[in-house]
Parts: sequence; C-alpha cells; structure tokens
Amino acid sequence: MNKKQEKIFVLVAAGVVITVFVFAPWSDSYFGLLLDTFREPAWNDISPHDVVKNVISMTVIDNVDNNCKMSADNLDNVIEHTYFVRGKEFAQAVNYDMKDKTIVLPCEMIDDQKSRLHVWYIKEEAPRFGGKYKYFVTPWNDTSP
Amino acid sequence: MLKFLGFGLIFLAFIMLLPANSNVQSDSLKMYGIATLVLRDSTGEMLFENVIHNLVVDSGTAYMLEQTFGDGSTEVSDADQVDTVCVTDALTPDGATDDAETADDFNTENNLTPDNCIGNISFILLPNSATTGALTFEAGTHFPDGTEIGGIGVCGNGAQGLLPDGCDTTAGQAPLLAVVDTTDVTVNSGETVDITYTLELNG
Repeated sequence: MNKKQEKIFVLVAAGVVITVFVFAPWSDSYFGLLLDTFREPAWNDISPHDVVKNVISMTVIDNVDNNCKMSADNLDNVIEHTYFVRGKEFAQAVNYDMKDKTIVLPCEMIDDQKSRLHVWYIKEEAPRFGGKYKYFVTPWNDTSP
Repeated sequence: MLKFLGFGLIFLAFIMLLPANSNVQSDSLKMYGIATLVLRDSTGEMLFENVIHNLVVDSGTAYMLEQTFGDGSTEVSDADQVDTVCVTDALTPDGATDDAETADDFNTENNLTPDNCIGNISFILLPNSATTGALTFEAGTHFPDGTEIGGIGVCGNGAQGLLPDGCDTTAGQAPLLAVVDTTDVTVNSGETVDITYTLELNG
C-alpha cells in the first residue's frame, strides 16, 4: 500500500466503525461487554435475581470540612456477605472504620441527622455487570425504593 | 503505520458485531424467590435490611409441578389439575399477551367448540419441567376440515373426558395456565397437527 491507499483504507475503516456504532445493536457484542466495565448498568433492567439490595440506618456523628462522619453499625453485614465480591473496595470508598463502625460521606449526600444508606450490588455470576455496585442515601422517613 | 490503524479499526468493528451471547437478564433462570431480612432494634426501628434471591431446590420444583399437572399420581386428583390442551381459531389469542386472560375469555374468543380440546392428559414430569408429549389434533375430529389454528390454551377440564368442551371455568378447578400464539396453520381433511406443551421451572 502506498500512503494514499493507506489513508483511504483508514478512512473506510473509520466509516465502518462509525456506521456499526450508530446503526448496529452492539450492546450484546464483545465490545458491549468490554464497555460494561466502564459504564453504569441500568439497574431497573437487571433481573431482581441478580441484584442484592441492602439498607442500613446511619446517623451523623461529626462534620469536618463538609465530610460527614456517620455511624454505620451494621455495615459489616453488607460488606462481609459472600456475594459482595467488591465489598472491601466499597468499604474503602465510604471510608469505613471497621473498629468504630463509622463511614465518611460528603455532607451534600446527607439531608438529615438520620438517613438510610442503600447498597446495591450485582452478583458476580450475573451475565452482565457482575460485581458492579452502587450506593446512595435517602432520608430516614423515605421507605422507598 | 496508517494501515495498522486501519486494521485496528476493522478489528474494532468486528468485535462490535460479534455477539457475546449474554443478556442483561439471567436467561437460564425461569423461577426464583426473594427473601427479605430486616433487623430491628428494641423500638422496632430498622437497623439493617437485606433483600436477596433464593434458590428453589429440586424437591420444591417437583412439588409445584406435581401439584399443578395431572400426572397419574394421587397427591391432587388429576381431574382438578391442569390436564387439557385446547386449540383455538383465534389467530392472535389475547391470552398470549394479556396476563388477565381467563379460561372464560379463552373459550369466548374460540369458535372451535365443542371438541377442540384433548383432556385427561397425563403429563410427563421431569425434575424441572412438565410436558404433555405430542398431542395429535385431527381435522374432522377436533375441528372442521380446513380450520386455521392460531394458538393453544393449557388448562383443566379433563373431568369431561378425552374431548372436553373448552377450558374449565368452574371455580376451584385448574384455571387457564397459559396461552400460546402459535404459527397459524390450516389443517385440511385427513391432516393432523401434533402439539407438545412443556412448562419449565428452573430455579
């Protein structure tokens, strides 16, 4: 191939990729699986069988530089479950102090003195998004979801 | 060097099209339960809640199948169980898409009465499934020659014998279990159509 032919080849190849990206249902392809590593699952579309949902109560203990230290007495129950393969990673994400049973979250996540911490994760053997987790805070008097 | 970039892009397009045979749902799973555990303090306030699936073990699956389908055993009288398959000339039977469909609805939209069903079926029970085996419906016996069959209903009515008149609508008897919108087929004089229905419970 000379330089001109190489340029045409690259342009055609790029056109093929763009066409596939725009028009082809690639989400169930190996490329889609690869992308799952980086994107958030649509939690409502995942079979309830594959999702474990936990809720614990937590109370604000301290506020330092807009970081709220919260009591999280029962977080061990969540983190140590055998299905939660990324439990330790989650514990680090919320700055869990296993000895004092506290976590530290940005205060903008917290509305009230007492709140609910939801921890959802997808079982590792699920066909898609296995091991993904998310956590969020809702007011104590909000019993949904 | 540019050509390697081109080959890389072609490879990328290829893996974007190569199906990974996975889905967002667990396709192999047909049945499951959900257990909810709530730990409360002495005042009744929630401390910890855990919602998690459970596995239905084989003996539980077998129990459900045995209670549901007529199979020649005596745990529930076969006449009260699902033991009938009816064909319908409704080309798009409502029950295939309407969860609220009843045996009465199925019978009403079906013009093939009175001999359009095969009753007294003894289902073959396997660890995770129940199947009728092949049921032979014959033009001239179960429906007039030249009838176009649009679907089937699975229900109870075997108490009426081998040729029940539709699905049983009696309270307390096996209700309409399922409706299948099959490919429409015309069955002419002397022709038959074999229908097999299988229910899988895979927990």
